[in-house]
Amino acid sequence: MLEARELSKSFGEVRALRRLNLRIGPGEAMCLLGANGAGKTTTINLFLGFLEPTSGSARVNGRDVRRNPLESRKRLAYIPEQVALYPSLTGLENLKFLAELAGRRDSGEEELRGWLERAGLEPAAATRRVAGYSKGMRQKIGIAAALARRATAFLLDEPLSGLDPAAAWEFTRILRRLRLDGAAILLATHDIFRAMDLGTTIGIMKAGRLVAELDPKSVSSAELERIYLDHMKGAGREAA
Amino acid sequence: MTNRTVLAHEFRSILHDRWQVGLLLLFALLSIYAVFQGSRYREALRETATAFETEHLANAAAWREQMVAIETGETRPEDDPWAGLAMNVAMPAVLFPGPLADFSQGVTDVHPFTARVALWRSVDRLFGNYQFQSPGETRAGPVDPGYVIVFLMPLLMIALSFGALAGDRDSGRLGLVLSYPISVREFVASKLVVRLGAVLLIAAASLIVGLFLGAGGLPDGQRLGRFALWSLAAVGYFAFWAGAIGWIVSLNRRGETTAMTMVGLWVLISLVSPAILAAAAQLTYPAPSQLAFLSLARQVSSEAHREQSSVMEGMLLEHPELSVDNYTLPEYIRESYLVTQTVDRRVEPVLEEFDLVQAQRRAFLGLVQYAAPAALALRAMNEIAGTDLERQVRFEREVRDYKSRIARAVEANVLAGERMSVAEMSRIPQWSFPEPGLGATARAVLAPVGALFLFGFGFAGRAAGRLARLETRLRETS
Amino acid sequence: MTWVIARTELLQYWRDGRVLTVLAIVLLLSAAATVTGWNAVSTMERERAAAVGMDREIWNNQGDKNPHTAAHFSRYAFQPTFDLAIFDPGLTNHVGNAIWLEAHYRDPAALRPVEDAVEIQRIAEMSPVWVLQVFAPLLAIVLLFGAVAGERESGTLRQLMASGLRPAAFLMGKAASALVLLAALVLVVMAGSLILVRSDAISPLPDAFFRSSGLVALYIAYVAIFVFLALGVSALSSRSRTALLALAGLWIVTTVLGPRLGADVAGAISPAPSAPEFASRVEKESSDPFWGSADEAVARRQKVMDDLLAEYGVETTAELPINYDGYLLQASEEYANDVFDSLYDELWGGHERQRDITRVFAAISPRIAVQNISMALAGTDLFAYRHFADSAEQFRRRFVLLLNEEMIVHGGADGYAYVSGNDFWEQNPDFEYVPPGIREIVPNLRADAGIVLAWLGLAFSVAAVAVRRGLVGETAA
Repeated sequence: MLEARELSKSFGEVRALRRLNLRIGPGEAMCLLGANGAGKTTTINLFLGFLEPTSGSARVNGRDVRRNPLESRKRLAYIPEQVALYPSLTGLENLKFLAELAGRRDSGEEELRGWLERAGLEPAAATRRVAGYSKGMRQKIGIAAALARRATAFLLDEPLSGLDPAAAWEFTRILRRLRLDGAAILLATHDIFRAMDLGTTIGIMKAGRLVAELDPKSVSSAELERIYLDHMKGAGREAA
Repeated sequence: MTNRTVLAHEFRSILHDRWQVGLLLLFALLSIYAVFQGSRYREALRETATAFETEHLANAAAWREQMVAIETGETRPEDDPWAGLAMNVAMPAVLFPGPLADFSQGVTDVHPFTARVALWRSVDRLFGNYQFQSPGETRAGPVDPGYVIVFLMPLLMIALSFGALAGDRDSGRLGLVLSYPISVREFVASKLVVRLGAVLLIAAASLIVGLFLGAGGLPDGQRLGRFALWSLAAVGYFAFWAGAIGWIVSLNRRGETTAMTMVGLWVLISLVSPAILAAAAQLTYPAPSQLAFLSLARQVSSEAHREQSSVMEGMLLEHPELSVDNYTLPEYIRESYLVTQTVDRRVEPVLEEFDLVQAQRRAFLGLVQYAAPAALALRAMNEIAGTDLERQVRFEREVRDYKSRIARAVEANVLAGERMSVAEMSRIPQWSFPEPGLGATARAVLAPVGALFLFGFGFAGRAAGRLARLETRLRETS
Repeated sequence: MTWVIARTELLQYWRDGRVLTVLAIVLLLSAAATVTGWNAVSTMERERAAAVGMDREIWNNQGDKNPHTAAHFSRYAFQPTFDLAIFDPGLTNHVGNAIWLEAHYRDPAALRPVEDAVEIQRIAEMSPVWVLQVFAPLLAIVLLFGAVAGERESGTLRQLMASGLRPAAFLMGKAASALVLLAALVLVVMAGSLILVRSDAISPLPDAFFRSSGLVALYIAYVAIFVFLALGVSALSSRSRTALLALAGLWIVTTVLGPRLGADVAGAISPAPSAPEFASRVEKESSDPFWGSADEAVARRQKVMDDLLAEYGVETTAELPINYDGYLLQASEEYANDVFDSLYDELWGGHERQRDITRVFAAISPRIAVQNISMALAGTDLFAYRHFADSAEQFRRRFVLLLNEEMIVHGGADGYAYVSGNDFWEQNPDFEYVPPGIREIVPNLRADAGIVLAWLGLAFSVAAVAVRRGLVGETAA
């Protein structure tokens, strides 16, 4: 579960996030749309505890991130745009390392391969060095690592950008399954179509504020795009 | 090859970067320190050598005065039986510090440069006791201009220039630069000229200060000539590094990879290869045992003392003209002479072996030094400065030779126990040490210094080629 | 957690061609240095053994000679080179191997190996400790400059921290992997020296076990300094390139420039005397005030005679039951010995002062303190050589006394004409050198050990500051 209460963050004069309130329960996915600088990544960083909130609080699975930074990350998975791995290790070795860091020392190769399979990685790729992996393959390692540590909350920072349509479709499918299995997902993206596909809520952010929350079932893609662009025009004027 | 706009921009950006300015200042400080220390060192050597020579020449003059007093009748012969004693001839032999010993000290700190050449001493003890230097100091080595040029200058060159291309490449500015009418080669060359030029300028300024400081005023022709040669060697080493740096820059790698490659090259050239070459020279041509030499000299001396009568007989057979019938001086004087002469003769082959090994090593290093540019530069600089091992070895050989020439001049008097006359005294040879002329030194260092320039130009040529290809590639892809 | 990171890190070193290349070069270099050192030490020891035997033989067979004449010829004390000099030759090449034990004069140790060395050996002298002192830190830097900054750039650090990894655990893992590798290097280099020692008849130093373990501990502490510094700098740098530059500068100052500049400044502040000048001082100050023609010297000799005549209650030296010439010679020795003590205290004191001034530069170069401890444990430092020279000097005094007494007791009226023969020479003792034990050495190490510990503390705090500031987030960005 991911929860923000009156969460705010300022960098000096710049108010990057203003009084954000949201709650993503198990089996729910919130997709955040917004221009660059709207506050999406700041929100994710606050949930990760990499930034200290100026006021308000971020909670992961009921724990306050600021008070219990390490505890709150225990069942939290973070998948950035570029999943960074050690290039000289194989996919399996990278996963083993990440699993062991999460305390799963006893995981045998079979178990590790099982997670990779669930994350959608071809078995043959597992023993190749990561240096030759595509972006999508790296993300699958990221998902597998999340599975290995039995993550219940997911933070994804524009994971879809740069993926070809087939890979993006596959990745969304995997995420949807995670959601159906009970994960709470916060996904920052520019891809309206995928957001509609995955989200249980669509949030639109502008200049640090969550300006709209929509139910994807109640709007069409075209309507959502129009609403989004309307907001963005406003954002452009505000920035100018 | 260069572009004025880039030159001006580079110049400003160095001045605005406090790290680069700090490094340049530090280098300037160290250079001036080295020049100052070097001139102090040479001055101390010169003073010691002069004092030694003066003192011993004065002793020799006093000794001559005693003889004059006898000949003019001022002193009665029986009142001064030791006056004119041929065995007591003692002359100083001094190796004055090389004309540029303040620029590179070379091996002058661990070798003798004064000798009291006396017949009482066999050749193994001609240089007396001189091993009083601080071992910690000789081990660490000096911070002289040679050290600054060979070790520190390339480091500063690296620090200032490793980012000449990588900085713009890593930050993505290179594409922008390429959209202007300037070639990559021109761009990189302009940057390097400013950055490396600053280093060369500081080095040159400090060396010029050293030229005057060490001379204590206006330098004479010899010093000026040697300074010009030494500076040429320094510029050669600079050219080598400038070329190598240009080449590594042209490989167009990331900033840290470029820096690591350059530091790695520095370690290889300045530390690893000289150490390996030195070890190889010494393993291939091991020096004869000094301890065995010492034992031999002592053994011969002891035997000669023990068998003095037969030694004497041998000598008389060689010199039938000598009469020993009316010998009035203590016998041990003549004995001592014969003993030291015997030792000198018997250890001669071993000494020749020492010289031979040094010559072999010199020839060996003369060939393999091209694999270690730091060694190349340093040996050439020492040779120009007159602080090289060869000069030292030659000094030691000349001193031994000087002793045998003195012995030949006075031998008849020693063996016959006859007082020397003032006229005979004038036959005692004077010490002189032949220094190689400027021309000879220039010819000797021509190949090493030329090689440094060649290496430098070779690298620069390759760098230019690479940059041209890089440009084509970049323009095609953009 | 630390071990998981360390193991993965080691696996990556193993897969990284650059790390393996550098490691291979360092290992090759240390192997070459060890063999070179072993060759030098075993040659020196072989030559010494031959010289010691020869010295005895020459002495035994010098034939009939006045004992004092024999004291002028006298004998030599040859400096042994011990096993650990293979590992750390220290000052070995810059100190003489042989001290002449002649009457009336205290000679310096002559025959320094450096005088036979080619000039480029002065640039860099290959030895196992040279490899450890200069290249092990470089290896630490190559391994770790990107440890934090690099992972921050690539994004792995963010993910690891997001997964709940503690910054301290992350740094300890990185430190552990580099330390394992570098400690292995230290052990391999040390073991190489020790194995070669065993294969040859090189005399061991007393307390070899303590010395070798001390050396291993010292070098592990030394590499640990660079490991923590590199980690700290990497963590505090925004980019790995900046970290590399800062660390390369640090390496040059600590291992290349610092020791040399320190020694040079020390030499300028406390210069060693000029050799010809000092040699002539030793000669004149020990001899002229006793044997000279000045009133002071005449009075001194007169007093020796008066005191002796009074002691025996006789009027002339001819009535003495002992030989007066021999007695006067010994009196002159005793006068000169005090002069030697003070002159050599001045000389060695100057060398020691240089070492102490150089130590100030340990503030910028831990290598200086490490060198001092290393040489002390290997028995190749100033203390060891002074200990040898002083022991030889004590022996010289006893030996000259023995010869003078022979003349005093048996010389009678013959004086300088009295001769002893081979049967007497054969009874004369040899100089047996006993090197100092570890107990004598340890008190000298306090200052340097303190400096090494302080550096270790500093390096650790730099890494700790980085941990406290957090490795990702606004403070570390």
